[in-house]
Amino acid sequence: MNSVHDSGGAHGFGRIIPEGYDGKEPAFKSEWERRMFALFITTIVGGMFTDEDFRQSREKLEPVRYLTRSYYEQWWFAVSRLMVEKGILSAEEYEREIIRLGGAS
Amino acid sequence: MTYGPETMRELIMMGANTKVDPPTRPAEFAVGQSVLTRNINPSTHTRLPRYCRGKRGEIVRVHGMYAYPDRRALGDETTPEYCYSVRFSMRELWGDDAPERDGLFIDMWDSYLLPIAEDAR
Amino acid sequence: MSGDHDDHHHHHHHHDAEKLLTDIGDVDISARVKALEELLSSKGLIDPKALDAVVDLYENQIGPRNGAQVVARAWADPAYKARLLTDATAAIAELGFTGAQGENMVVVENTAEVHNLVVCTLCSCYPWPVMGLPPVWYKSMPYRTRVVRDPRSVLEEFGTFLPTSMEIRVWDSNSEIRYMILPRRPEGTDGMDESALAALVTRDSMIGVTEAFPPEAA
Repeated sequence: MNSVHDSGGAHGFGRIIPEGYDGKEPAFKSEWERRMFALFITTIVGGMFTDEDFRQSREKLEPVRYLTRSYYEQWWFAVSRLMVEKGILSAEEYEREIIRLGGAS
Repeated sequence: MTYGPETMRELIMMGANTKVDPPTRPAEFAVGQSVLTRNINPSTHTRLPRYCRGKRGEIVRVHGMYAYPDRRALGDETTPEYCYSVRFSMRELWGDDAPERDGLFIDMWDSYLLPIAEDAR
Repeated sequence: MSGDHDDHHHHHHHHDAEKLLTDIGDVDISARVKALEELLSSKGLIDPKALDAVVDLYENQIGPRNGAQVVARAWADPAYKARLLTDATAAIAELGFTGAQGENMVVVENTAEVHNLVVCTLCSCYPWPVMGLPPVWYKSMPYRTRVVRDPRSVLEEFGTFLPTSMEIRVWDSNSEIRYMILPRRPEGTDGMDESALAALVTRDSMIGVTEAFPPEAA
């Protein structure tokens, strides 16, 4: 699909590496990133969706969110969309759970 | 399926390959052959990027037969295709300001490609 | 499941998914991730201990030191290098590196005439078994947009200045195939053993944005 993920050759995105880049960085910057990565692996290895399902789902993220949300947050959107599209989770229960946990933080 | 830690580790180390080996038919294209990429614009998933549509290139490697992603994304795994490494000169992609000898190598499936005559490049 | 009911169901789920993500997509991300884990776990669809094992594998066990061993072996052993350039998946498996995102490997060699670098413009494909998980910059739009069009400016940003007479090859990983660069062996490394050679091989040199370290810089 012709969404913003497909921008090879586009101008204007600027600098690639941060000032003082030393070639090293941790695999995960926070606990939620670790969990999100592992959730992706366990759900895809568990057969709930294919690589193409996942890429297509990530590509459906609207441009502003795609460009401004961090990488593993994009994975949350992609996996969550698939969980509901494939009927594994209902939107209602998911929303309830998010509000239950999000309100407490 | 719900897997425990040991099985999950084993499955990760095994990986998941869509390669069809041996292939079920001969390849459409051969190394050295000139090709033109199609101008497709599906609203669903494709691995043919916009920067590489309607461009002339040359087959440099035949990788073998794999699941065709554009169909697999629609839930159809019945149409595997050959996947090729194709070279595009940077000038072909970006114009004559690009360095003359530099190239872009990208993988293409049968359905992304049309054969063209040698002297069309 | 078949027919009209399934189609209706299908459209319903797509619509529900879109609405959910729109409505709830600004709640704190750690709460949203926790919600996903809690629901899947409480339904028995995932095992939380499996999650822990996955994190440990990719945080502590799999990483670019694997690829560095492959490179060092290729530098030290011409027969291994020949196998690596012919059938990279098998050669890499000789060292015990296999699995997810490395099922179909191709290794391309940097020479005095040709310099290679790898990208995935459409997402973030990367050869995990030999390199671990990719750095943030590799997955981000500045690299993904610029390297296919102006690789020389990208190399310069990484401090890599190559003669204009060299041919640059950019490999866009858009298929099942995963690419790794075999960097040039630095000068002054004759007689070094494989573990000393491996210490010269950086993650960035196997992506192709830098060369390997010369021995005095390691």
